[in-house]
Amino acid sequence: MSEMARLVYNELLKIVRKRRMLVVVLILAVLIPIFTYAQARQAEELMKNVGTSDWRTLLQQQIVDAQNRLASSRLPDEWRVMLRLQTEQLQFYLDHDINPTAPGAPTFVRNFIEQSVALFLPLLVVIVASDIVSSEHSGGTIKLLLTRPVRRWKILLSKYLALILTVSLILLITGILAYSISGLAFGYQGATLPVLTGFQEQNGQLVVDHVHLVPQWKYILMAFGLAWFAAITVATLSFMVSVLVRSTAASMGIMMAAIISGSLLAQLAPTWTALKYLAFTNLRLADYLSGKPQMIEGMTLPFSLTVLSVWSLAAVIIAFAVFTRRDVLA
Amino acid sequence: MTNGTTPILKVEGLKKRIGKRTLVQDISFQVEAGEIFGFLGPNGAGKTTTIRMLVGLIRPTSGTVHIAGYDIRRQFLQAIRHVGCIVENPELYPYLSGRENLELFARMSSVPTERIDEVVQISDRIEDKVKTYSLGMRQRLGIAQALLAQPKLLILDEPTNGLDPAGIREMRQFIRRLSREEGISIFISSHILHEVQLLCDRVAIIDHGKMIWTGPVDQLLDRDMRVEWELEPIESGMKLLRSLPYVTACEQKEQNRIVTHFSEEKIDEANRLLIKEGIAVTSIRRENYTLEDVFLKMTGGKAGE
Amino acid sequence: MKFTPKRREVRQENNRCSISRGKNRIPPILLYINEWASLLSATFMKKWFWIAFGILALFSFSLFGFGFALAIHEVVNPPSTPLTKASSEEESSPAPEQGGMLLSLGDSLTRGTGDINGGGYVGVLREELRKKYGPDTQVVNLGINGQTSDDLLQQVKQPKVQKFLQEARWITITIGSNDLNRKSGGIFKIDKKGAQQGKKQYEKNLNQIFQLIREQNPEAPIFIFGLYNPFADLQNESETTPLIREWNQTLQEVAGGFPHVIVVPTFDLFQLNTTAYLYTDHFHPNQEGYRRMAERLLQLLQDYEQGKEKNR
Repeated sequence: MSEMARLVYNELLKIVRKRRMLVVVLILAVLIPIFTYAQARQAEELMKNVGTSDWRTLLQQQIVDAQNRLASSRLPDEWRVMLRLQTEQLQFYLDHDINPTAPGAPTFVRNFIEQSVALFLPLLVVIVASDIVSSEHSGGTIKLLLTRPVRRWKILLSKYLALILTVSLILLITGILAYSISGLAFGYQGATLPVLTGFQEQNGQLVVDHVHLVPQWKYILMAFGLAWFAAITVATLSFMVSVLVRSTAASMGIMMAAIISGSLLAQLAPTWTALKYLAFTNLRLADYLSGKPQMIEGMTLPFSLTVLSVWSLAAVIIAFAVFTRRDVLA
Repeated sequence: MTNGTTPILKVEGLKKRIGKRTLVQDISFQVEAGEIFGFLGPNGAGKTTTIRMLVGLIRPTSGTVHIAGYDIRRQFLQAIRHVGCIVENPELYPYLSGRENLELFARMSSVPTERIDEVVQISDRIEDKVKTYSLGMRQRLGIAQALLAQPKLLILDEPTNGLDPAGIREMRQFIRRLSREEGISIFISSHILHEVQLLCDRVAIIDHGKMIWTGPVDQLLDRDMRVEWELEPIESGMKLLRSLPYVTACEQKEQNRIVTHFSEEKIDEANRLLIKEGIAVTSIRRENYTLEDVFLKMTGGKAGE
Repeated sequence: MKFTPKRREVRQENNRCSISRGKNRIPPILLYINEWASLLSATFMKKWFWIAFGILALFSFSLFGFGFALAIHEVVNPPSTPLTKASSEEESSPAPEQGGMLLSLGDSLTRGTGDINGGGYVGVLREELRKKYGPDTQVVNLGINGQTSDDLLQQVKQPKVQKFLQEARWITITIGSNDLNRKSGGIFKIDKKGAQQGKKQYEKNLNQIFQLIREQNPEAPIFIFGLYNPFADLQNESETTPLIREWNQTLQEVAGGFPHVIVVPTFDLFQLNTTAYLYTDHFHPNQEGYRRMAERLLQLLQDYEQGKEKNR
């Protein structure tokens, strides 16, 4: 155990000293204020158009806007179902007099994690994960690493553990930065605000039998938990690619292409139901909490978790099988 | 742990094939405790592939490697514990300092960090990042890393590559001292015959993936010298030199150059014979042997004999 | 083994460095960042940093693991107690606005389809009303594309919409063109019987809509736009125009039965110069058309407000 702890420490040291973490933190520190500004501006714009700060009016306006989009004949059926579900959900909020967008840092954090789970967070994870093994190959240090009295699987395991710890830490930093930066603009209130969860979808209808309220902080914790799982899946896949590919640039490129096309494909071709078996179309786990309908039919939280777990497991098996057997050639 | 009779490194019938290409085959040799063993061959002969197999980076297609009696494949941990190595260039983590690199490897080998001060005498650059180091400094840090776990066998791949003459001399002295004072067996690969001659007790020669000779270094070449002639006319000169009994190798190079091997004292005699036959001698040059000469000798070089 | 660097070597490196710097012109900001990063990396060497790093990493790992488990539990086994209405009625009355609220109901004309700026006549009204009654004048646009009088009747019944109706200072409506279009079977094959039925239904709906609005808000003036003939420049104009006139007649009659309901005519506007005010779809008004519509409404609104002042 202490040997594993020493190995993990080594790997963490490498990640930090390579300044990968620093890059991630800098990206967050630059982008979160931009997102904050964008959201503040958006809210202001909406308020200006309707001429009120009363969220009920704004919400009603949103519902009508969505209804208008629904009325458009050019809208594909899948989008139509999704929009209708969204409208019904908004109506539900309105009927129960709950403001889903009460301004404040916690609301921002909640929205931020819901939005970033499919694209932004995975890209941050890839920055750290994609070179964790491939850089040892491209730097030639793999020869030193594998000629120690340590089994190869232990070395790879230590890298994997270090990666998971780092990903967890990135998520924590994301949360803390999002909270503290957005709080400057929106204030820090709203942690105990009630948020609705438990929306279910059945045959294109919104089922509200299980809808209930949770305090926002608990909701955020759960959303981060799900985002964390998604991020770890991305890290695991990235880890496998890093084992298979010797160049860091290639491994980063492969992962980014996969993530971006995964999130695009679901929107481009929601009728292509086979897409739901891909890992990157299942990353929007936080949507299961908010009740935001998934693009592709037949996706539920257990389904998505199963798909992600199967992919992760396969990636881990491949990574270990290849790493422990492969010849280290020039 | 090992008594004097167990060789520190024993290689038997090593072979590596990737796809249809055979990289190395029939590699067999032994390195005894305390000796400096040279592994000589031109670039691309399969030296690095062999070394990678010795330390378990590549699994051989067939054949075995035993280090201090342990099979590198079946008892990897026990075997590798006795080895310190640098494969090809000493590539360390450039974003860590020299000391951090050593600490990192010390943690992997369960070596106390005090050992770092033993392998590196305190220097002002040890706290600097490795990316600021010159090649010579990296080479030294690489060796320090190899010595961390107090190995019985040190495997060095072209240790003088990229060093300036002063650095080469220093490295040679260092290797000798390690062998003499610490009793470490040292396995050195090189493509420079001269270096192997100066350092090693025994040598194995590899070419095109095959071992062609192994034995003590002093048997490698006799006391003959490499002598280069420029003659006119070349054909009759060649014929004359070949007929001399003390010429062990003779080969024509380029248009008017002939390379011969024979004893230094006989140069004068051969020269006089040539002149007597009316052959113009434009130059005689005496040189150290190169690897090329070894191959020349192995293949005979004396056509028709 | 010695680690002493050779002095000559170091000096050479320095020289090389300064030359390349001169050539590439590294901006000073980069040098500054580099310095700053080195300072940071000095921090990384400290022991406390690593202790904090490790503890934080482990903490976040377990925190999110917990959150993950919680989320699965929440989604897979949600409590089945139905949600009781949130106890927030105590503050449900929105603050009254000084400028008052314009509530716009109806179809795509209210929505502003055809206006490249997207505002439609409501957009023009918003600007003008804010100029006149202050920037805090609220505008709520509940227009829905393709809405018929049946749909509007349903919409007006919604509790939230009723709340808006109560608060509204002015109400504007466009309704009927979708009814007409659908019931009459399109422009090329006019189904006279269907149109007749449609008109009856329209009349009934209008009556109920005004009824419901007046129940919620007996005071606010309702401005309802009349229908126009977008096909006035086509061959069968002689068939379509009378139809529109009939429907407008109905609209007038129904409106007359309720207090403060003002019909804003648009028929003549589009009849005379059809293409100038129509969007390329040959159905919706264009930007200019909407502006004219809004101007008419504003004129009537001004008259109405003045009349109200006098009556006081």
